[in-house]
Amino acid sequence: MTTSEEQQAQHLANWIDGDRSTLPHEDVAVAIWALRPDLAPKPRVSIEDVLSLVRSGPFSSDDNVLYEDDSNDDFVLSVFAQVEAESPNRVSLDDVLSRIQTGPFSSAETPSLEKDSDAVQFHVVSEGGLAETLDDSKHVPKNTLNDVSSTSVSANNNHWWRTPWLAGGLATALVFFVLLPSGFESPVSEDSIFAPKPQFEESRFVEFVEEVEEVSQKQASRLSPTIDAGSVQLSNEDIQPAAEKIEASSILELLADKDATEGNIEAYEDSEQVTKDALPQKKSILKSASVGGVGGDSVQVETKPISMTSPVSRNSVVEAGAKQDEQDNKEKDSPASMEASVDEDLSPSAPSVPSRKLEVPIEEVMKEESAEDAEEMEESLDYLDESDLVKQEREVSVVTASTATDIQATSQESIVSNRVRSKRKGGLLKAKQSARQPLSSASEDVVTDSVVMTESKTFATQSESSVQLPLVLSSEQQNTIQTLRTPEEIFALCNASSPTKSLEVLWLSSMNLPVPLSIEVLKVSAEYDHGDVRYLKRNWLRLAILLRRSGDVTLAAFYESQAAALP
Amino acid sequence: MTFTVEQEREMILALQKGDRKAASWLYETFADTLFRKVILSRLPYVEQAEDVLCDTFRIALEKIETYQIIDRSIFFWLRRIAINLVVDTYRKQVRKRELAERILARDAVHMVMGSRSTQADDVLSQAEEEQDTKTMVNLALEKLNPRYAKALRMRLLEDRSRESCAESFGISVGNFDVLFHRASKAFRDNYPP
Repeated sequence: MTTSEEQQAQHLANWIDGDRSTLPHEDVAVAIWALRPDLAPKPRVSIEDVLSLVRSGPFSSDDNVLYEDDSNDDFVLSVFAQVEAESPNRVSLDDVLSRIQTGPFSSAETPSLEKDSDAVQFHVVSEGGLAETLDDSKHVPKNTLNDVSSTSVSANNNHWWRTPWLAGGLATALVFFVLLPSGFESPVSEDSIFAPKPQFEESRFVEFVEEVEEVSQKQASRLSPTIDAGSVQLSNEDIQPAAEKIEASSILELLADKDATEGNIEAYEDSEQVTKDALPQKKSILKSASVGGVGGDSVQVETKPISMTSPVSRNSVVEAGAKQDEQDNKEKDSPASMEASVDEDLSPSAPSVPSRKLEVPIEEVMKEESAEDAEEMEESLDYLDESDLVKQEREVSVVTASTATDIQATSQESIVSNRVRSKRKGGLLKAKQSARQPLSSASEDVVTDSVVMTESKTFATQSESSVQLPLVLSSEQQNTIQTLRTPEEIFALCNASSPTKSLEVLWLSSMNLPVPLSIEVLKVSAEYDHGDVRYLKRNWLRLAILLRRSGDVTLAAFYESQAAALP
Repeated sequence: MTFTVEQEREMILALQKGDRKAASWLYETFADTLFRKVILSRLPYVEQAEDVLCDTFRIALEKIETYQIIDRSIFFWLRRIAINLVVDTYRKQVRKRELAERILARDAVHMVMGSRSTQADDVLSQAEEEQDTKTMVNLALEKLNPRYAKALRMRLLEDRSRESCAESFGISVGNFDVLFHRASKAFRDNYPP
C-alpha cells in the first residue's frame, strides 16, 4: 500500500466516524452515498434557485416570460390541428424489433411479426421528452398525461413564425430578390478562407511547376528502392565471417547492427578520422551495395517491421549463396569489382546474401563513385534513416492486448523492443559511416538481437508486472519457498499482519507448483488484499492467467476485473 | 413533518395558483428525501444529483397546473420526474447508456409491481424507498470480492466501528482502513448494478 492510499483511507475512515470537514474523494464517495445516503451532504439547491429557473406556469415571473400566451390564436390552433390530423404513424413493430440489441428479441433471425395496426400503435414521441418524463400512468391519471402531451405540442409552445424553414425561406428570398440583383459583395476578412488569394505571375507559375516536377522525379527515384529485410535472412551458422568483406555487409549492418549508439559512431568516426568528404562516399558505397542504384537494376528492397524476429532460414541462405556463386562464376572473366555485385539481382525472390568472392577493397569502389552520386545516395540514406525507421518503430509499436496482463506484458516487451530498435538505429548510423566492418560482426549482431528479442518475450510472458516489484523476501526465504510443494506449507508462511510479504510468498510459490495448485494458492491472495496493491494486482493477474489456461474464463474475468479495479 | 391527504390537496391547489409559500412547502417537504433516497442512490455524484434535484422541482413547478390531484402523494410524481432526469443524465454519457436503460427498466418494474405506499407520510418514513436502494446495493455487492463486500456491509450497513471490523478480519485497524478504501473504490465500478 502506498502512503497516499493510506492517507486517503485514513481520511475516509475519519469522515465516516464524524470528521466531516471535507468530502471524501468521489471514487469512494459513491459507495457511501449509495449505502448510507443519510451521510450525504444536504443539497445546496434552494427553492429560490429553483424558482429562478422556472420559465412557465404559475411560478414564472414576468421577467422570465419569453413570449405572450397566445393560446387563443385560432389561426395557429387550426394550423397545428391540421398537422396533427395528417401526421401518419411512422413507427412499425419491425422498426422496434430492428433496434433491439439485447434480450430474447435481439436475434437477427427474429421473424417479422405481422403488422397489426390495432396492436401496434406507436406514436412519434416529441423530442422534448416531457411526456416521457410525466408518463407515470400509475400515479397520474390518463387525462393528465393527455394534457401534458397536448401541451408539449400545442400552439402555446410552437410558434409557426419561429420555425427554421420560415427563416430559411426568408433568407433565400433575400438572396434572390435583393442581393443578387444588386450585385452585392460582402466584405471578406483577410483571415477568411474565402479571402482572395494573391495571384501568381504566369511565368513564375511555370517555373514553379517545373521545379515541382523535378523534385517529384527525384523523390520517385529515391522511393522506388526499398529494403526487404524479410528477404535478408541470416543465422549465425550460415554466415562465414572470414570470407566476406563485401557489399552486403552494409545491408546487414543496416538492418542488424544494434550495438552501436550514436556516441559509438562519433567515437568510431574520430578514431578512423573519417573526413567529411569520405563519409558521403562511404554512404554511396553502402547505398550502391544495399540499394543497387548504380547499375540501374531493379532492386526491390522493402523495409518490414519486426524484421529481426523473422525466422532465419539456413536453406534460404545456402541457396542464395549457391546462386551467388553461380552468378560469380559466370562473370569470372570480368574484373572482380564492386559493380559486379552491385549489378546483381537482389530481388526478394533471390535473398540478398553477401557475395563471397568479392574481395575488392571498398576504397577502390569508393573511387569509382562520382561525387554527385554520393550526394544523392547520402540523401537517400538519410531518407531511409529518418522515415523508414520511424515508420518501422510506429508499426511495431502497434500492439494488441486483450487483458490487462497482456497490456502490461506487451508494453514491457515493446519497451525492450524499442530499446533494441534504437540501438539498431544507432547501428544504421554506424553503417552509414563505415562500410568496413566484416560480415561476422553483423551476424553477431543478428544473434544478439534475436537473443534480446527472445529475452523480451520471455520477460513479457513471465512478468505479470513482477520484475518491476521489489522483493520483500530474503534470498533464504525465497529458496525455502521454492522447496515447498503443498499449499498448506505455503499458507503457514503467510501472515495477515504482513500482507505484502504474504502476497509475495503466494506469488513465488505459485511459480513452482502445477497450475491447479497455483490457482489454489493464488486465490488466498484475497485474504491479504490489504497489502501492497501492486503485489495484490500481480497475484490476481497471474491467477487470471492460470484460470484462463485451465479453462475457467468466467473466474478469470472476475479476477481481471478485480485487478483492474485496483489503483 | 406529518400531514394528511387533505392538507396535501390544499397545498397542491395553492401551488397551482402560484403560491410561493406552497412552493417552499413542497420543496422543504420532499427535497431531502428525493435527493438522498431517489437521486443520489441512482446518481451518486453530488453535483450532478443537485442539478437533477433542481430540474425536478423546476419541471414540477412549471407543469403543476397539469397535475391532477389523486389519492396518492405528489411525491410519486416528483420521483418519476427525478428518475427520468437521472436516466437522461446517464444517457448523455455514451458509456453509461446501458446503465440508464437498466435504471429505467428497474423503475418500470417497481412501477408495475406497485408501491404499498400511497401517502406522503409513508414515503417520508422511507422504508420502501430504502428497500429499493438496498436491492440495488446488494446486487452491486454481489459483484465484488467477498471480503470487500463484507467490509462495506460491516462498516456502512451494520455501522460497526473500525476496530470491530478489523478484529473480525484479523488485521490491524490501519490495514482495515486500506481494505475498506479499496472496497469503496471497487464498489464505484459496479454501482448502480
